[in-house]
Amino acid sequence: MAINKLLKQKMYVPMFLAVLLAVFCNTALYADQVRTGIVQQSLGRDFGILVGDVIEHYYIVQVPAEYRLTPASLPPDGELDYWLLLLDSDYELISETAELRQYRLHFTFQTFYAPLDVRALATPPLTVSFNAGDKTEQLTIPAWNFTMSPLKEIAPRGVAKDSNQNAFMKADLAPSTIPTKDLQQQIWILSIMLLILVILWLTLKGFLFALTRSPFQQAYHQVKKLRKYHNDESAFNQALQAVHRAFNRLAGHALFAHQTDQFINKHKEFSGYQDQIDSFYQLSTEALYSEQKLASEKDFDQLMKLCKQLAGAEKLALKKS
Amino acid sequence: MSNVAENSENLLTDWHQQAITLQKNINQTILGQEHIIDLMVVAIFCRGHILLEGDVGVGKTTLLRATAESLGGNFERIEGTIDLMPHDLVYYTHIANDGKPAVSEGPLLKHGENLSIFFFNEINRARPQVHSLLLRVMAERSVSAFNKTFFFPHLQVFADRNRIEKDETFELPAAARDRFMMELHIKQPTAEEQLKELMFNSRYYDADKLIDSADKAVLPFHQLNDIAVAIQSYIHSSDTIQDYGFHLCQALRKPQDYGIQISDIDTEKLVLGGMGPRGISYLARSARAHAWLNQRNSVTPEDFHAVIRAISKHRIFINPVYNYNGEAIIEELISGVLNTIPSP
Repeated sequence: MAINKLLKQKMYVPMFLAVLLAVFCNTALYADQVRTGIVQQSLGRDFGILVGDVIEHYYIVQVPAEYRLTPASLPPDGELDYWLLLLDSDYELISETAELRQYRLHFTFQTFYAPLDVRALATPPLTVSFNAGDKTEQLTIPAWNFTMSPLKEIAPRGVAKDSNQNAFMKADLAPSTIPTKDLQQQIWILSIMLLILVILWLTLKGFLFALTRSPFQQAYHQVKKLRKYHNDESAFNQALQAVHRAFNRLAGHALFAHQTDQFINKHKEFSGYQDQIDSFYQLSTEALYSEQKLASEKDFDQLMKLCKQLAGAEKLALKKS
Repeated sequence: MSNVAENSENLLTDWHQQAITLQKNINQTILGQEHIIDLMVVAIFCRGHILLEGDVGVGKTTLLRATAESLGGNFERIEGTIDLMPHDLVYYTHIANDGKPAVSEGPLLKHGENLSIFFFNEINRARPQVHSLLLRVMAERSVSAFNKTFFFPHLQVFADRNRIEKDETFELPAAARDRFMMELHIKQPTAEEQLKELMFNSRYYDADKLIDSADKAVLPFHQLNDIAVAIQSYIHSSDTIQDYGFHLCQALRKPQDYGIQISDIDTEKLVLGGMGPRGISYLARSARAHAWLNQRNSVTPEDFHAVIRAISKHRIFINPVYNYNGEAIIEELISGVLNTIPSP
């Protein structure tokens, strides 16, 4: 019996040694081949998520030591779906040994899905790449399933009733506005005061009356002012210019001597003054183009008379119409 | 008044009479083109070249022939054809009476300095090589051949082209068009009386006989250069009219700066170029000649209005996107400029 026991023990030793060797070899092999994958993850709760909630996912992943994460392979920020936004994706190298590297990946999502009852949804799978020279290793972060809840009262007072008070869903809150009533009032008061001041200034300067006056009335006043300087050659040129401006304004375009017939055809009220108008253009040609005319006070008077006559004719025509 | 001024005034008065005779002479031959003939006389007294454009059979060639015959001097005519080459204008080769090959002077050189009118019929049928030679003849009134330079001090080029046919034609380059002082667009008369006259009066059936019936050489053509200089120095341009002329030209180049509006057109991008120094000088010269022909001794806005279309229309180059309706747009631009720029 004792011999048999001993023999039995002798047979077990090599078997024990073989098993020991196998375990050792297996451990050594495992140490050489670090597998790429997720070693730890924090995904938060996968239920009771409401519209607008921010979802944060953390993953600790490991790769063989020669591999490095390719930052460009991280999914870009932006819309992943019509209801899902990737706000941020980030990474950090947290440990590095001779065999492996560990990275922490951080993804921040925001959901805009607004369910009317509890809905099962999923974030899409995301892929991250790791490079070692020419070799590439890809790690896929799997889709994450969760449920979204509607925004509802915890203890509903009424179900499917029309009344706002007892409605199943609460009405949206009105946004609070900044009070601007006082500011608006101040702006109105200041604007009215400014307008009054501008009108007052225009009235004092005479511009307001000028706007309502006939072009020939305006020309009359300008010629009258210039008459004081009748000895100055340029004063007469300016006076002629003022009357020309009046004709141009009334005609709606630059009016020249050879177009006076058309002008009178269009403005019948001046038909009685054709000779005077022609004389004016003749005078203007002599003074401005031939430069053979020396102006006298009489010429200024003639211009003023013409302006007065034409303004009168215009006024009469307006009254009749 | 000094004697010199009095003499030149008398000379210009005499010449004015001759200019009116010339105008009447052409008007007797050509019916219903009074305005075009007025402008042609202006160009003759500015020594500018003229290009006539118009529909087929409106009398372009007859008008130019009648004008050339009335002016006098030596007259040469050449037909624009697709195989015409520059040397055809300068010389031709033939077998002489002695049976040997010979080289003789072509239409340009035949009359030497006495060449008065060179009439180029259907100019757009000639190739650009010929246009190129013509450019020099028009700009410098000279040409180089047989190792020497020939001068034509009295030369005036008249050319015509029809606007209907476009096959086998060569559009005149901008530089060639710019050398023509005026580009005149001839339309057929619209008055019923004139059309009936052209239709039933046998006088107008034979163009050769019609031209022969008019007086010839009514002007001493060799004095035209001197009289043109006298007109330019005698007719007065006041500061006011100079300002007006300047702003007209500026507005044609930059209509947006003068607030000129054309419906459906962005005036800022409309004009690419045109009315350069040659164009503005021609405008002033023709305005002076027009004032003289109307017996005025100073230029007025009316003179600019009378000539501006003939001078500027072919010198304004517009953005190609507006080419579909280019002629009407340019016409509208010129009208806009004349209506907008005041004087004084």
